[in-house]
Amino acid sequence: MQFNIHHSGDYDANVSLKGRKVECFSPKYIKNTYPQGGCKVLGEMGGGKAKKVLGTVQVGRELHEVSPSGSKSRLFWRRAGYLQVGDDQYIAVMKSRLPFLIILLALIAVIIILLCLLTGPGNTPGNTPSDNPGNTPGTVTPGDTPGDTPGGDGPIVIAPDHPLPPVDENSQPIEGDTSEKADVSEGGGSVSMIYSLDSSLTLSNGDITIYFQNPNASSHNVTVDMYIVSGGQEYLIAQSGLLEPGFGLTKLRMMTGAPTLSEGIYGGLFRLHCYDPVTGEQAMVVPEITGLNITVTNG
Amino acid sequence: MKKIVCILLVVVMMFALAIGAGAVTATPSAPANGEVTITVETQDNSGIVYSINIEWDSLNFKYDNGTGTWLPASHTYQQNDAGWVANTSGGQELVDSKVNSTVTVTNHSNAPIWYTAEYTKDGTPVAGVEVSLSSAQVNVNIPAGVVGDTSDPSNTKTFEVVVGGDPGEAALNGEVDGNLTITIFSTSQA
Repeated sequence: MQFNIHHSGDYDANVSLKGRKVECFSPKYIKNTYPQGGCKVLGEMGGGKAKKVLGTVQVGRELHEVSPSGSKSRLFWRRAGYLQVGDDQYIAVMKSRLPFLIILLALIAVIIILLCLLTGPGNTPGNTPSDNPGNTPGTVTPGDTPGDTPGGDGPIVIAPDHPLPPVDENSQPIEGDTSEKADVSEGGGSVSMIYSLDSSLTLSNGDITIYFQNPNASSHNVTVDMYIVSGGQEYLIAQSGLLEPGFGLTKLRMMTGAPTLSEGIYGGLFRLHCYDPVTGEQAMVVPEITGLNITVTNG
Repeated sequence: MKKIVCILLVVVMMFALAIGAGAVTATPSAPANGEVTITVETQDNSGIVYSINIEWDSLNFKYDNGTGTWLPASHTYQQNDAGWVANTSGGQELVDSKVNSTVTVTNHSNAPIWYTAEYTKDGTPVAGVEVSLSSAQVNVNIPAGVVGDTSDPSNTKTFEVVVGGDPGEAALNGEVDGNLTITIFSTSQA
């Protein structure tokens, strides 16, 4: 079938066909001219040999094959222009999207490579190479391989070798504590403990009332772990923060995950951990205080 | 008659003084119907106050594997005898090729206590190291604090942590071997 081009003075675009510039209507013109549709695209031309030939159209001295409309994949081809061949009838001129696709893929590849370089192994935001508390992105901890570069912006934070637990918010200065620091040998230590064996636990709010003091005479900070002892088994129910020498504690909080208790009296114990106030190193000595009487009430 | 009244008043005053050394609080309540009620409470201050002190000499132990000290001037080693080295400024003593470090438990409570001390090795102890206590520290009694004397020797017990053995190459790594747990009881465990 032979298609004849209607030459029009309204052509507003041109496309290149086999090296020759051809005037045509732009896709924008067609869209504006036929806002409600009604434009009949009889076929497509351009872009190499057609698999199925509908007919031919002569442009200048060249004869171009026309394939059925929609025969070329919209992923790789776009309609660059329209040639009028009748009343509201057009042949679409196809141009390849391949150069654009190649550029797009190259750009995506560059972005992926940049992301990999910025967020590669050891540099992933949130990566915590050790269990040290207070470790944050960009933190160097002892044991890291020299030359590792922490990720993230901002200054590098170096965690201490022996981080101290935070000071217990309920710790209070011991009134009237005039005890003098014990004279300990180099590398040694001294822990004084003043305590009551009676304590109470209110189930409704998890508050635990205790009486424990770390007098000024102590050379070490301490933390207190409170256990219920039942059937020969120890069950951790509360942990204090750091108690510095000269400070006491009358309140603990039952921890999440502690065993379910009911009203009554339970036996228990305190287990202390002693920390050098300068180095934060935990002492080898672990004092335990047994014989606690823990009165549990609903509240 | 006056004499009898005076004697009775003196007797009443004597009984009032004999109530006790505890504090007496008197709280007047709000009057009702023209009456004033005074509530008298006595407070017993003889409750048990537990106060324990644990003191220890340095529990970091050093072993010299006998390689010797390098002398840069002569490029030679000054040979040492292999063995444990006591940190004397840390209170340690070398006895029979073993290092002793003293631990002291003092009871300042107004009630007796008992304690047990036990050394427990970590999950990965330093091979070859032998840690023991100078004597069995099981259910050791320390009587209540002596009234008026904070340094009475009867309120203090001591024992030594004794470290010996041949740790070999492990001594170069500064590894931790275990913990010394001192458990305090308010009643005898016998």
